[in-house]
Amino acid sequence: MSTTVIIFDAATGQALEASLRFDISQDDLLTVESEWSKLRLEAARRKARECPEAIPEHWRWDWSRKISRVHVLATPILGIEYDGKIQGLMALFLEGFNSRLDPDKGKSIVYVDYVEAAPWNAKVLTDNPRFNGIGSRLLEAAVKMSVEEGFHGRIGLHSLPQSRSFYENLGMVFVEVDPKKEDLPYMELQRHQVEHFLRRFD
Amino acid sequence: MIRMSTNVEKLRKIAAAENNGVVSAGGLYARVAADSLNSTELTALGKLLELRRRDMKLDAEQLAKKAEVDLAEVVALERGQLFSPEPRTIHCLAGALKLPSSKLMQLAGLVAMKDSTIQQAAVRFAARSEPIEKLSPEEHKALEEFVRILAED
Repeated sequence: MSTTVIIFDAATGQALEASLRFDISQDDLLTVESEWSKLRLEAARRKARECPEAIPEHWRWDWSRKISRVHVLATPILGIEYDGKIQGLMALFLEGFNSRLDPDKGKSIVYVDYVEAAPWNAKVLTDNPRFNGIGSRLLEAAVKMSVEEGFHGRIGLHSLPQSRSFYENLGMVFVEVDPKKEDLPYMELQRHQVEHFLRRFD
Repeated sequence: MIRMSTNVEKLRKIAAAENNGVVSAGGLYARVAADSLNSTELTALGKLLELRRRDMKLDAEQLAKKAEVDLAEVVALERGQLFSPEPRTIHCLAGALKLPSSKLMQLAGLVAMKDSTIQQAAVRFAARSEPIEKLSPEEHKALEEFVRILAED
């Protein structure tokens, strides 16, 4: 199960037809983790020497821990694939999360549990990133899935501090520093911002 | 099935704004430490406890007695196999081994890792120390260096 999605070659700006996959498998997650964890760790070590503040905050993530969620309807894992490799992953919750902001406080949202672009697509992890637009396309998918679920495009997530400006630029609102979630900034895209958000894509 | 945008010009603008920046959302260290079964920190914690114990010329049994903790816990911790140790165990071992308790708690994943220096030191330490009978000069140096970083405020 997949659909075409456009991403960009970071060096040339060329538009490329990648695949947005809704059927990420356990093997995919294991492959991803075996490749990504090494690169994250190398980058973290490099940064520790050069510039400790720039250590990628997600360097200890482990996508293989999400294996139990593969193929569970309420907790889909989506991935963008190009050139035979996963270029970015996103894990969602379609149930159990509600907006924390008026006027839609208490209404269902899609909760973005994890998002990550492959280490070779992030400047903080490599000097020559390969593909650009991965994060934005995954967020577009999250918002559209929220529309499809009947949640009017509302989404929420806990951003890593390093990513906060990325989500703010997409129109998400900072709600609070969440003590229940490692003091991470919790952010939402509210219903009335969805139209504006989608107009920037379509 | 959702329909993704095919508007190349708009998407190009959005990608330019993204500019290969960090897009990660999800969780930080504590959560990962809590559900990671083989984290570097636990390895480092195990090695640290073992080398420090051997450096103080204690066997595992003597240490367990001195710290008033279960011998099985000491052994599992040293092997990096005790994934959710009791705070009390870590606290008592820290006392017996004269190591800063709060930093050990961070290594054990019991409190959020706040200091990237410790993480980095743990990674280096775990990579450098090998379990052999007697502390090699390298191990001794690695141990001293790690203890020094832990002792920093």
